[in-house]
Amino acid sequence: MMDVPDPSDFPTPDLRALDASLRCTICGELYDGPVMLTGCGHCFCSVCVRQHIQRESDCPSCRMKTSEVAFRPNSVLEEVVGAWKEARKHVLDMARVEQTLAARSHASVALQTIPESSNPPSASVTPSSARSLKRKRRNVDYVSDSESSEVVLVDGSPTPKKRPGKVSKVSRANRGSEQPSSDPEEIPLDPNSNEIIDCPMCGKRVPLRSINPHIDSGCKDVGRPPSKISLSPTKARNNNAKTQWSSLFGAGGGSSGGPDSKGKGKGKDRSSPSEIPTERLANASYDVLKDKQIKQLLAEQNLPTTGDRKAWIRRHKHYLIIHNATLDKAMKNRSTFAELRQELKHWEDEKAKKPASAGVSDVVEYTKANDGEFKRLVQEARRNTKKPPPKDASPGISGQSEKTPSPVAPDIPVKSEDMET
Amino acid sequence: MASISARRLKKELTEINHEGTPTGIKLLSADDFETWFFSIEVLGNTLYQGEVFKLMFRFDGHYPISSPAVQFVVDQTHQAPIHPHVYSNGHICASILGNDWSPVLSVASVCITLQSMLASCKSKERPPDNDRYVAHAPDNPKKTRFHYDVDRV
Ligand SMILES: [Zn+2]
Ligand SMILES: [Zn+2]
Ligand SMILES: [Zn+2]
Repeated sequence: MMDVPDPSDFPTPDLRALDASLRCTICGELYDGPVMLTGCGHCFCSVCVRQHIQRESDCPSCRMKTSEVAFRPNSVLEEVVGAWKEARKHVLDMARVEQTLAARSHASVALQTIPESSNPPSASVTPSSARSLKRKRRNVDYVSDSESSEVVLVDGSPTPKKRPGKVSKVSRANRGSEQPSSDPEEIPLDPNSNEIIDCPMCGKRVPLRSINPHIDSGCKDVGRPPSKISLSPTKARNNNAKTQWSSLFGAGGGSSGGPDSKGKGKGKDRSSPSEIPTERLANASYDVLKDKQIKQLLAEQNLPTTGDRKAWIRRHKHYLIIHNATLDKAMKNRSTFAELRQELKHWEDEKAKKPASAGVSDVVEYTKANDGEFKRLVQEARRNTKKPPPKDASPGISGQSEKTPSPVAPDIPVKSEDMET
Repeated sequence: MASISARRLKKELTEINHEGTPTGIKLLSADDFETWFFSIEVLGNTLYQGEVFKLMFRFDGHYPISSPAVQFVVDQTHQAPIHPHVYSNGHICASILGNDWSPVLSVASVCITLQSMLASCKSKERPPDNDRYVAHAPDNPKKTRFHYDVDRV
Protein backbone atom coordinates (compact mmCIF):
# COMPACT_ATOMS: atom_id res chain seq x y z
CA MET A 1 0.00 0.00 0.00
CA MET A 2 1.18 3.52 -0.68
CA ASP A 3 3.17 5.41 1.87
CA VAL A 4 1.30 8.49 2.99
CA PRO A 5 3.10 10.72 5.51
CA ASP A 6 0.93 11.19 8.52
CA PRO A 7 1.18 12.53 12.09
CA SER A 8 1.25 8.94 13.28
CA ASP A 9 4.74 8.66 11.80
CA PHE A 10 6.05 10.33 14.96
CA PRO A 11 6.71 8.29 18.08
CA THR A 12 5.60 10.90 20.61
CA PRO A 13 2.24 12.67 21.08
CA ASP A 14 3.75 16.15 21.13
CA LEU A 15 5.34 15.71 17.72
CA ARG A 16 2.19 14.10 16.40
CA ALA A 17 0.23 17.12 17.55
CA LEU A 18 2.72 19.47 15.94
CA ASP A 19 2.54 17.66 12.64
CA ALA A 20 -1.26 17.48 12.77
CA SER A 21 -1.57 21.19 13.50
CA LEU A 22 0.15 22.00 10.21
CA ARG A 23 -2.26 19.92 8.17
CA CYS A 24 -5.34 20.95 6.27
CA THR A 25 -8.45 19.40 7.77
CA ILE A 26 -9.90 18.81 4.31
CA CYS A 27 -7.14 16.84 2.62
CA GLY A 28 -5.04 15.91 5.64
CA GLU A 29 -1.85 17.06 3.91
CA LEU A 30 0.54 19.72 5.13
CA TYR A 31 -1.04 23.03 4.10
CA ASP A 32 -0.49 23.78 0.44
CA GLY A 33 -0.93 27.47 -0.21
CA PRO A 34 -2.99 28.04 2.95
CA VAL A 35 -5.71 30.66 2.90
CA MET A 36 -7.55 32.05 5.87
CA LEU A 37 -11.28 32.67 5.71
CA THR A 38 -11.70 36.22 6.91
CA GLY A 39 -15.05 35.63 8.58
CA CYS A 40 -14.00 32.92 10.99
CA GLY A 41 -10.23 32.59 10.68
CA HIS A 42 -10.19 28.94 9.69
CA CYS A 43 -7.43 27.87 7.35
CA PHE A 44 -7.37 25.41 4.48
CA CYS A 45 -5.30 24.73 1.40
CA SER A 46 -6.45 27.17 -1.21
CA VAL A 47 -7.15 24.41 -3.67
CA CYS A 48 -9.15 22.42 -1.10
CA VAL A 49 -11.43 25.21 0.03
CA ARG A 50 -11.87 26.43 -3.55
CA GLN A 51 -13.17 23.02 -4.51
CA HIS A 52 -15.46 23.01 -1.51
CA ILE A 53 -16.79 26.47 -2.25
CA GLN A 54 -18.05 25.28 -5.60
CA ARG A 55 -20.56 23.14 -3.78
CA GLU A 56 -21.23 24.89 -0.51
CA SER A 57 -20.76 28.54 0.34
CA ASP A 58 -19.75 27.96 3.94
CA CYS A 59 -16.65 27.28 6.00
CA PRO A 60 -16.10 23.51 6.20
CA SER A 61 -15.15 23.78 9.86
CA CYS A 62 -17.71 26.14 11.36
CA ARG A 63 -20.20 26.56 8.52
CA MET A 64 -20.02 30.31 8.59
CA LYS A 65 -21.09 31.72 5.24
CA THR A 66 -18.13 32.55 3.06
CA SER A 67 -17.01 33.03 -0.52
CA GLU A 68 -13.86 33.37 -2.56
CA VAL A 69 -13.57 37.07 -1.80
CA ALA A 70 -13.12 36.16 1.87
CA PHE A 71 -9.98 34.08 1.21
CA ARG A 72 -6.72 35.63 2.31
CA PRO A 73 -3.38 33.99 1.60
CA ASN A 74 -1.78 33.07 4.92
CA SER A 75 1.84 33.68 4.02
CA VAL A 76 3.15 33.22 7.55
CA LEU A 77 1.61 29.79 7.81
CA GLU A 78 2.90 29.01 4.36
CA GLU A 79 6.43 29.72 5.54
CA VAL A 80 6.01 27.73 8.71
CA VAL A 81 4.82 24.76 6.72
CA GLY A 82 7.65 25.23 4.26
CA ALA A 83 10.20 25.11 7.07
CA TRP A 84 8.47 22.12 8.64
CA LYS A 85 8.50 20.26 5.35
CA GLU A 86 12.27 20.73 5.26
CA ALA A 87 12.74 19.76 8.88
CA ARG A 88 10.17 17.00 9.15
CA LYS A 89 12.37 14.16 8.00
CA HIS A 90 15.24 15.22 10.23
CA VAL A 91 12.97 15.57 13.24
CA LEU A 92 11.51 12.18 12.44
CA ASP A 93 14.98 10.63 12.26
CA MET A 94 16.05 12.28 15.49
CA ALA A 95 12.89 11.34 17.30
CA ARG A 96 13.41 7.74 16.32
CA VAL A 97 17.06 7.75 17.27
CA GLU A 98 16.09 9.31 20.55
CA GLN A 99 13.59 6.57 21.19
CA THR A 100 16.16 3.93 20.50
CA LEU A 101 18.68 5.55 22.79
CA ALA A 102 16.09 6.05 25.46
CA ALA A 103 15.22 2.39 25.33
CA ARG A 104 18.88 1.46 25.54
CA SER A 105 19.63 3.60 28.54
CA HIS A 106 16.33 3.78 30.30
CA ALA A 107 18.03 3.85 33.65
CA SER A 108 19.34 7.29 32.83
CA VAL A 109 16.01 8.30 31.44
CA ALA A 110 14.37 7.32 34.67
CA LEU A 111 16.74 9.61 36.48
CA GLN A 112 15.81 12.39 34.15
CA THR A 113 12.14 12.14 34.86
CA ILE A 114 12.66 12.70 38.57
CA PRO A 115 12.02 16.35 39.23
CA GLU A 116 14.89 18.14 40.83
CA SER A 117 12.96 18.85 44.01
CA SER A 118 12.27 15.19 44.55
CA ASN A 119 15.91 14.32 44.98
CA PRO A 120 16.07 12.70 48.36
CA PRO A 121 17.57 15.21 50.75
CA SER A 122 20.45 13.69 52.59
CA ALA A 123 22.54 14.74 55.51
CA SER A 124 25.62 13.43 53.88
CA VAL A 125 25.33 15.80 50.98
CA THR A 126 28.18 18.13 51.47
CA PRO A 127 27.48 21.74 50.69
CA SER A 128 30.03 21.71 47.99
CA SER A 129 28.74 18.65 46.24
CA ALA A 130 25.17 19.89 46.50
CA ARG A 131 26.17 23.19 45.07
CA SER A 132 28.09 21.46 42.40
CA LEU A 133 25.11 19.36 41.46
CA LYS A 134 22.94 22.38 41.38
CA ARG A 135 25.34 24.34 39.34
CA LYS A 136 25.62 21.51 36.95
CA ARG A 137 21.92 21.37 36.51
CA ARG A 138 21.67 25.07 36.09
CA ASN A 139 24.32 24.89 33.45
CA VAL A 140 22.45 22.22 31.68
CA ASP A 141 19.35 24.32 31.76
CA TYR A 142 21.26 27.26 30.52
CA VAL A 143 22.63 25.30 27.66
CA SER A 144 19.29 23.97 26.68
CA ASP A 145 17.60 27.34 26.85
CA SER A 146 20.19 29.06 24.82
CA GLU A 147 20.26 28.95 21.09
CA SER A 148 23.92 29.67 20.92
CA SER A 149 26.21 26.77 20.40
CA GLU A 150 29.03 28.76 21.91
CA VAL A 151 27.83 28.20 25.46
CA VAL A 152 30.53 26.41 27.33
CA LEU A 153 30.20 24.59 30.59
CA VAL A 154 32.61 25.74 33.21
CA ASP A 155 33.24 23.57 36.13
CA GLY A 156 34.83 25.50 38.92
CA SER A 157 36.25 22.58 40.81
CA PRO A 158 39.83 22.03 39.88
CA THR A 159 39.60 18.28 39.98
CA PRO A 160 42.38 16.40 38.33
CA LYS A 161 41.73 15.46 34.78
CA LYS A 162 40.27 12.04 34.47
CA ARG A 163 39.90 9.88 31.50
CA PRO A 164 36.32 9.78 30.31
CA GLY A 165 36.42 6.02 30.34
CA LYS A 166 36.41 6.16 34.11
CA VAL A 167 32.85 7.29 34.18
CA SER A 168 31.31 4.00 34.96
CA LYS A 169 27.93 3.08 33.67
CA VAL A 170 26.84 1.97 37.11
CA SER A 171 27.71 5.12 38.94
CA ARG A 172 25.94 7.21 36.37
CA ALA A 173 22.90 5.09 36.07
CA ASN A 174 22.41 4.78 39.79
CA ARG A 175 23.02 8.34 40.62
CA GLY A 176 19.42 9.04 41.25
CA SER A 177 19.27 6.68 44.16
CA GLU A 178 22.71 7.35 45.48
CA GLN A 179 24.06 10.41 47.15
CA PRO A 180 24.66 13.01 44.56
CA SER A 181 28.35 13.04 45.27
CA SER A 182 28.92 13.31 41.64
CA ASP A 183 31.86 15.64 41.51
CA PRO A 184 34.55 12.99 41.63
CA GLU A 185 32.83 11.17 38.81
CA GLU A 186 32.30 14.29 36.87
CA ILE A 187 34.33 14.42 33.76
CA PRO A 188 36.34 17.60 34.09
CA LEU A 189 35.44 20.18 31.60
CA ASP A 190 37.96 22.19 29.81
CA PRO A 191 36.20 25.02 28.09
CA ASN A 192 38.94 25.33 25.55
CA SER A 193 39.14 21.71 24.73
CA ASN A 194 38.11 20.68 21.29
CA GLU A 195 38.72 17.09 22.08
CA ILE A 196 36.15 14.62 20.81
CA ILE A 197 35.62 11.53 22.85
CA ASP A 198 33.59 8.38 22.71
CA CYS A 199 30.69 8.64 25.10
CA PRO A 200 31.16 5.92 27.70
CA MET A 201 27.43 5.34 27.75
CA CYS A 202 26.37 5.20 24.16
CA GLY A 203 29.64 5.21 22.28
CA LYS A 204 28.73 8.25 20.22
CA ARG A 205 31.41 10.76 19.35
CA VAL A 206 30.83 13.73 21.61
CA PRO A 207 32.90 16.86 22.22
CA LEU A 208 34.56 16.55 25.60
CA ARG A 209 33.14 19.82 26.83
CA SER A 210 29.59 18.66 26.28
CA ILE A 211 29.97 15.14 27.59
CA ASN A 212 28.41 15.89 30.96
CA PRO A 213 25.15 17.34 29.75
CA HIS A 214 25.12 14.60 27.16
CA ILE A 215 25.32 11.86 29.77
CA ASP A 216 23.05 13.70 32.16
CA SER A 217 20.40 13.62 29.53
CA GLY A 218 20.61 9.89 29.19
CA CYS A 219 22.54 10.37 25.98
CA LYS A 220 19.75 12.48 24.66
CA ASP A 221 21.99 15.50 24.86
CA VAL A 222 20.08 17.68 27.31
CA GLY A 223 17.69 17.01 30.12
CA ARG A 224 14.44 17.93 28.45
CA PRO A 225 11.48 16.06 27.16
CA PRO A 226 12.18 14.67 23.69
CA SER A 227 10.41 17.26 21.62
CA LYS A 228 12.14 20.17 23.24
CA ILE A 229 15.53 18.62 23.21
CA SER A 230 15.84 18.89 19.54
CA LEU A 231 16.84 22.53 19.40
CA SER A 232 19.65 22.18 21.86
CA PRO A 233 23.04 23.45 20.87
CA THR A 234 24.70 20.38 22.24
CA LYS A 235 22.89 18.43 19.62
CA ALA A 236 24.02 20.92 17.08
CA ARG A 237 27.58 20.16 18.01
CA ASN A 238 27.05 16.79 16.52
CA ASN A 239 28.16 17.52 13.00
CA ASN A 240 25.46 15.55 11.35
CA ALA A 241 22.63 17.11 13.27
CA LYS A 242 24.10 20.52 12.79
CA THR A 243 23.69 20.53 9.06
CA GLN A 244 20.24 19.09 9.49
CA TRP A 245 19.09 21.82 11.76
CA SER A 246 20.76 24.65 9.98
CA SER A 247 18.77 23.81 6.90
CA LEU A 248 15.70 24.48 8.97
CA PHE A 249 16.77 27.93 9.99
CA GLY A 250 18.57 28.77 6.81
CA ALA A 251 21.54 29.63 8.97
CA GLY A 252 24.03 28.68 6.33
CA GLY A 253 26.51 25.86 6.35
CA GLY A 254 23.88 23.33 5.44
CA SER A 255 23.63 21.93 2.01
CA SER A 256 20.12 23.10 1.35
CA GLY A 257 19.94 26.10 3.64
CA GLY A 258 21.21 29.56 3.27
CA PRO A 259 19.37 32.74 2.49
CA ASP A 260 20.54 32.57 -1.09
CA SER A 261 18.63 29.47 -1.92
CA LYS A 262 15.47 30.91 -0.49
CA GLY A 263 14.34 32.91 -3.45
CA LYS A 264 14.90 30.16 -5.90
CA GLY A 265 11.91 28.14 -4.86
CA LYS A 266 11.97 24.47 -5.69
CA GLY A 267 15.04 24.83 -7.78
CA LYS A 268 13.00 25.75 -10.79
CA ASP A 269 14.13 28.19 -13.35
CA ARG A 270 12.38 31.37 -12.37
CA SER A 271 14.19 33.49 -14.88
CA SER A 272 11.11 34.08 -16.98
CA PRO A 273 8.36 35.47 -14.77
CA SER A 274 5.86 35.15 -17.58
CA GLU A 275 5.87 31.42 -16.86
CA ILE A 276 4.22 32.01 -13.48
CA PRO A 277 0.59 33.10 -13.17
CA THR A 278 0.11 36.53 -11.72
CA GLU A 279 -3.52 37.29 -12.46
CA ARG A 280 -6.66 35.69 -11.19
CA LEU A 281 -9.11 34.12 -13.57
CA ALA A 282 -12.79 34.95 -13.22
CA ASN A 283 -15.43 32.25 -12.92
CA ALA A 284 -17.39 31.66 -16.06
CA SER A 285 -21.12 31.13 -16.41
CA TYR A 286 -20.85 28.07 -18.56
CA ASP A 287 -24.61 27.68 -18.89
CA VAL A 288 -24.92 30.76 -21.05
CA LEU A 289 -21.84 30.03 -23.12
CA LYS A 290 -21.87 28.37 -26.49
CA ASP A 291 -19.59 25.42 -27.17
CA LYS A 292 -17.35 27.63 -29.22
CA GLN A 293 -16.97 30.11 -26.39
CA ILE A 294 -16.06 27.40 -23.90
CA LYS A 295 -13.45 26.05 -26.27
CA GLN A 296 -12.20 29.59 -26.57
CA LEU A 297 -11.80 29.80 -22.79
CA LEU A 298 -9.73 26.63 -22.84
CA ALA A 299 -7.61 27.87 -25.71
CA GLU A 300 -6.86 31.07 -23.83
CA GLN A 301 -5.22 29.00 -21.13
CA ASN A 302 -3.50 26.68 -23.59
CA LEU A 303 -5.65 23.81 -22.46
CA PRO A 304 -6.71 20.92 -24.68
CA THR A 305 -10.23 20.83 -26.10
CA THR A 306 -10.57 17.09 -26.24
CA GLY A 307 -13.74 15.43 -25.03
CA ASP A 308 -17.25 16.79 -24.93
CA ARG A 309 -18.78 19.95 -23.55
CA LYS A 310 -19.07 18.38 -20.11
CA ALA A 311 -15.39 17.52 -20.15
CA TRP A 312 -14.46 21.05 -21.24
CA ILE A 313 -16.41 22.62 -18.43
CA ARG A 314 -14.99 20.24 -15.88
CA ARG A 315 -11.49 20.89 -17.18
CA HIS A 316 -11.87 24.65 -17.19
CA LYS A 317 -13.45 24.69 -13.75
CA HIS A 318 -10.64 22.71 -12.23
CA TYR A 319 -8.00 24.71 -14.02
CA LEU A 320 -9.52 27.86 -12.57
CA ILE A 321 -9.28 26.35 -9.10
CA ILE A 322 -5.63 25.35 -9.33
CA HIS A 323 -4.68 28.53 -11.17
CA ASN A 324 -6.26 30.80 -8.60
CA ALA A 325 -5.00 28.60 -5.78
CA THR A 326 -1.39 28.90 -6.86
CA LEU A 327 -1.80 32.67 -6.78
CA ASP A 328 -2.43 32.34 -3.06
CA LYS A 329 1.12 31.12 -2.63
CA ALA A 330 4.33 33.07 -2.26
CA MET A 331 5.99 33.68 -5.62
CA LYS A 332 8.69 31.11 -4.94
CA ASN A 333 6.10 28.41 -4.30
CA ARG A 334 3.85 29.09 -7.25
CA SER A 335 3.45 26.59 -10.02
CA THR A 336 4.36 27.57 -13.53
CA PHE A 337 1.75 27.45 -16.28
CA ALA A 338 3.34 24.25 -17.50
CA GLU A 339 3.13 22.71 -14.06
CA LEU A 340 -0.49 23.73 -13.70
CA ARG A 341 -1.30 22.04 -16.96
CA GLN A 342 0.57 18.96 -15.84
CA GLU A 343 -1.36 18.99 -12.59
CA LEU A 344 -4.62 19.32 -14.45
CA LYS A 345 -3.74 16.38 -16.65
CA HIS A 346 -2.83 14.32 -13.62
CA TRP A 347 -6.16 15.21 -12.04
CA GLU A 348 -8.04 14.16 -15.15
CA ASP A 349 -6.11 10.91 -15.37
CA GLU A 350 -6.91 10.12 -11.75
CA LYS A 351 -10.58 10.80 -12.30
CA ALA A 352 -10.62 8.63 -15.39
CA LYS A 353 -8.83 5.80 -13.62
CA LYS A 354 -11.15 5.81 -10.64
CA PRO A 355 -14.02 3.45 -11.27
CA ALA A 356 -17.37 4.83 -10.29
CA SER A 357 -18.20 3.91 -6.75
CA ALA A 358 -21.47 2.42 -7.92
CA GLY A 359 -19.40 -0.47 -9.21
CA VAL A 360 -21.02 -2.57 -6.53
CA SER A 361 -24.29 -2.40 -8.37
CA ASP A 362 -26.59 -4.32 -6.12
CA VAL A 363 -25.72 -4.23 -2.49
CA VAL A 364 -28.17 -6.88 -1.44
CA GLU A 365 -26.99 -9.35 -4.07
CA TYR A 366 -23.41 -8.53 -3.42
CA THR A 367 -23.50 -9.06 0.28
CA LYS A 368 -25.52 -12.24 -0.05
CA ALA A 369 -22.96 -13.72 -2.35
CA ASN A 370 -20.27 -12.96 0.18
CA ASP A 371 -22.27 -13.81 3.20
CA GLY A 372 -20.09 -16.60 4.48
CA GLU A 373 -17.07 -14.42 4.06
CA PHE A 374 -18.68 -11.58 5.95
CA LYS A 375 -19.69 -13.78 8.84
CA ARG A 376 -16.12 -14.82 9.16
CA LEU A 377 -15.00 -11.22 9.00
CA VAL A 378 -17.39 -10.16 11.68
CA GLN A 379 -16.09 -12.87 13.95
CA GLU A 380 -12.59 -11.85 13.16
CA ALA A 381 -13.35 -8.23 13.84
CA ARG A 382 -14.92 -9.13 17.15
CA ARG A 383 -11.82 -10.97 18.20
CA ASN A 384 -9.60 -8.16 17.11
CA THR A 385 -11.27 -4.97 18.18
CA LYS A 386 -8.75 -2.45 17.00
CA LYS A 387 -7.13 -3.82 13.92
CA PRO A 388 -8.97 -4.49 10.69
CA PRO A 389 -8.60 -7.99 9.36
CA PRO A 390 -5.25 -8.44 7.70
CA LYS A 391 -5.20 -7.93 3.98
CA ASP A 392 -4.93 -11.55 3.07
CA ALA A 393 -7.75 -12.53 5.41
CA SER A 394 -10.41 -11.32 3.04
CA PRO A 395 -9.35 -12.03 -0.49
CA GLY A 396 -12.89 -12.23 -1.72
CA ILE A 397 -14.02 -8.68 -1.15
CA SER A 398 -12.10 -6.56 -3.58
CA GLY A 399 -11.96 -9.39 -6.05
CA GLN A 400 -15.71 -9.70 -6.00
CA SER A 401 -16.33 -6.05 -6.50
CA GLU A 402 -14.18 -6.13 -9.58
CA LYS A 403 -16.21 -8.96 -10.95
CA THR A 404 -19.52 -7.23 -10.49
CA PRO A 405 -19.29 -3.80 -12.04
CA SER A 406 -22.39 -2.35 -13.51
CA PRO A 407 -22.03 -2.41 -17.29
CA VAL A 408 -22.55 1.31 -17.61
CA ALA A 409 -21.06 2.56 -14.41
CA PRO A 410 -22.63 5.94 -13.77
CA ASP A 411 -20.30 8.75 -12.93
CA ILE A 412 -21.81 9.83 -9.69
CA PRO A 413 -19.80 12.95 -8.98
CA VAL A 414 -20.66 14.43 -12.33
CA LYS A 415 -24.28 13.54 -11.97
CA SER A 416 -24.61 15.15 -8.62
CA GLU A 417 -22.86 18.23 -9.95
CA ASP A 418 -25.40 18.36 -12.69
CA MET A 419 -28.19 18.18 -10.21
CA GLU A 420 -26.79 21.10 -8.33
CA THR A 421 -26.22 23.36 -11.27
CA MET B 1 1.03 10.18 -6.58
CA ALA B 2 -2.24 8.74 -5.54
CA SER B 3 -5.42 10.72 -5.75
CA ILE B 4 -6.45 13.12 -3.02
CA SER B 5 -9.33 10.89 -2.00
CA ALA B 6 -7.17 7.79 -1.70
CA ARG B 7 -4.57 9.65 0.32
CA ARG B 8 -7.15 11.11 2.64
CA LEU B 9 -8.75 7.68 3.14
CA LYS B 10 -5.36 6.14 3.80
CA LYS B 11 -4.82 8.67 6.58
CA GLU B 12 -8.19 7.86 8.08
CA LEU B 13 -7.37 4.17 7.95
CA THR B 14 -4.03 4.79 9.63
CA GLU B 15 -5.77 6.71 12.37
CA ILE B 16 -8.31 3.96 12.87
CA ASN B 17 -5.52 1.40 13.11
CA HIS B 18 -3.61 3.57 15.57
CA GLU B 19 -6.35 4.99 17.73
CA GLY B 20 -9.00 2.35 17.26
CA THR B 21 -12.61 3.03 16.47
CA PRO B 22 -15.17 4.56 18.86
CA THR B 23 -16.85 2.20 21.27
CA GLY B 24 -19.44 0.03 19.58
CA ILE B 25 -17.98 0.60 16.12
CA LYS B 26 -15.66 -1.83 14.42
CA LEU B 27 -13.98 -1.83 11.08
CA LEU B 28 -14.90 -4.99 9.24
CA SER B 29 -13.06 -4.42 6.01
CA ALA B 30 -11.36 -1.68 4.06
CA ASP B 31 -9.64 -3.45 1.24
CA ASP B 32 -9.60 -0.53 -1.13
CA PHE B 33 -10.50 3.13 -1.20
CA GLU B 34 -13.94 2.56 -2.65
CA THR B 35 -15.91 0.47 -0.18
CA TRP B 36 -15.53 0.07 3.57
CA PHE B 37 -17.66 -1.89 6.00
CA PHE B 38 -18.20 -1.27 9.69
CA SER B 39 -20.23 -2.98 12.33
CA ILE B 40 -22.12 -0.65 14.60
CA GLU B 41 -24.04 -1.22 17.79
CA VAL B 42 -25.52 1.14 20.30
CA LEU B 43 -24.24 0.40 23.75
CA GLY B 44 -26.10 1.13 26.90
CA ASN B 45 -29.79 1.29 27.62
CA THR B 46 -31.34 2.02 24.23
CA LEU B 47 -34.02 0.63 21.96
CA TYR B 48 -31.36 -1.21 19.97
CA GLN B 49 -29.77 -3.12 22.81
CA GLY B 50 -28.14 -6.30 21.58
CA GLU B 51 -28.58 -5.43 17.90
CA VAL B 52 -25.57 -5.21 15.63
CA PHE B 53 -25.85 -3.39 12.33
CA LYS B 54 -23.54 -3.22 9.40
CA LEU B 55 -22.64 0.00 7.64
CA MET B 56 -21.33 0.34 4.14
CA PHE B 57 -19.34 3.39 3.00
CA ARG B 58 -18.77 4.01 -0.69
CA PHE B 59 -16.37 6.73 -1.78
CA ASP B 60 -16.05 8.44 -5.10
CA GLY B 61 -12.99 10.21 -6.44
CA HIS B 62 -14.16 13.51 -4.98
CA TYR B 63 -14.12 12.44 -1.36
CA PRO B 64 -13.91 14.30 1.00
CA ILE B 65 -15.18 17.27 -1.00
CA SER B 66 -18.19 15.14 -1.79
CA SER B 67 -19.82 13.04 0.91
CA PRO B 68 -19.46 9.28 1.09
CA ALA B 69 -22.49 7.15 0.20
CA VAL B 70 -23.43 5.55 3.50
CA GLN B 71 -26.12 2.97 4.17
CA PHE B 72 -26.95 0.06 6.40
CA VAL B 73 -26.36 -3.32 4.82
CA VAL B 74 -29.41 -5.54 4.49
CA ASP B 75 -28.67 -9.23 3.98
CA GLN B 76 -29.40 -12.58 5.56
CA THR B 77 -27.65 -11.70 8.77
CA HIS B 78 -28.17 -7.95 8.90
CA GLN B 79 -31.21 -5.73 9.00
CA ALA B 80 -31.42 -1.99 8.82
CA PRO B 81 -32.30 -0.60 12.23
CA ILE B 82 -35.96 0.28 12.61
CA HIS B 83 -35.76 4.03 12.90
CA PRO B 84 -37.83 6.96 11.54
CA HIS B 85 -34.85 8.00 9.38
CA VAL B 86 -33.77 4.61 8.14
CA TYR B 87 -35.51 2.88 5.24
CA SER B 88 -35.82 -0.86 5.19
CA ASN B 89 -33.38 -1.05 2.28
CA GLY B 90 -30.74 0.49 4.51
CA HIS B 91 -30.83 4.00 3.10
CA ILE B 92 -30.48 6.72 5.69
CA CYS B 93 -32.09 10.12 5.71
CA ALA B 94 -29.46 12.10 7.57
CA SER B 95 -28.50 15.63 6.67
CA ILE B 96 -24.85 15.00 7.50
CA LEU B 97 -24.75 12.64 4.51
CA GLY B 98 -26.32 15.26 2.26
CA ASN B 99 -26.61 19.00 2.65
CA ASP B 100 -24.75 19.13 5.93
CA TRP B 101 -21.77 17.11 4.83
CA SER B 102 -18.49 18.93 5.33
CA PRO B 103 -15.11 17.82 3.98
CA VAL B 104 -13.62 18.13 7.45
CA LEU B 105 -15.87 15.29 8.59
CA SER B 106 -14.60 11.75 8.41
CA VAL B 107 -15.73 8.17 8.27
CA ALA B 108 -15.37 7.97 12.03
CA SER B 109 -17.42 11.10 12.61
CA VAL B 110 -20.20 9.75 10.38
CA CYS B 111 -20.21 6.51 12.38
CA ILE B 112 -20.50 8.44 15.62
CA THR B 113 -23.32 10.59 14.30
CA LEU B 114 -25.28 7.57 13.14
CA GLN B 115 -24.65 5.85 16.43
CA SER B 116 -26.04 8.80 18.35
CA MET B 117 -28.96 9.01 15.93
CA LEU B 118 -29.87 5.49 16.96
CA ALA B 119 -29.13 6.10 20.62
CA SER B 120 -31.55 9.02 20.80
CA CYS B 121 -34.40 7.16 19.11
CA LYS B 122 -37.67 7.36 21.01
CA SER B 123 -39.79 4.90 19.09
CA LYS B 124 -38.84 2.16 16.70
CA GLU B 125 -40.66 2.81 13.46
CA ARG B 126 -39.91 3.06 9.76
CA PRO B 127 -40.18 6.33 7.86
CA PRO B 128 -43.84 6.92 6.86
CA ASP B 129 -42.96 6.75 3.15
CA ASN B 130 -40.85 3.62 3.51
CA ASP B 131 -42.67 1.34 1.08
CA ARG B 132 -42.99 3.99 -1.60
CA TYR B 133 -39.32 4.95 -1.29
CA VAL B 134 -37.91 1.44 -1.21
CA ALA B 135 -39.89 0.47 -4.32
CA HIS B 136 -38.17 3.13 -6.41
CA ALA B 137 -34.96 3.82 -4.54
CA PRO B 138 -31.77 4.18 -6.54
CA ASP B 139 -28.91 1.88 -5.71
CA ASN B 140 -26.85 4.74 -4.44
CA PRO B 141 -28.54 6.74 -1.67
CA LYS B 142 -26.61 9.82 -2.76
CA LYS B 143 -28.87 10.02 -5.76
CA THR B 144 -31.83 10.51 -3.51
CA ARG B 145 -32.77 14.01 -2.54
CA PHE B 146 -33.93 13.48 0.98
CA HIS B 147 -35.98 16.05 2.77
CA TYR B 148 -34.66 16.41 6.24
CA ASP B 149 -36.99 16.76 9.17
CA VAL B 150 -36.71 19.50 11.70
CA ASP B 151 -34.86 17.15 13.99
CA ARG B 152 -31.85 16.93 11.75
CA VAL B 153 -29.24 14.38 12.40
ZN1 LIG C 1 -5.95 20.72 1.92
ZN1 LIG D 1 -14.72 28.63 9.94
ZN1 LIG E 1 26.20 9.07 24.99
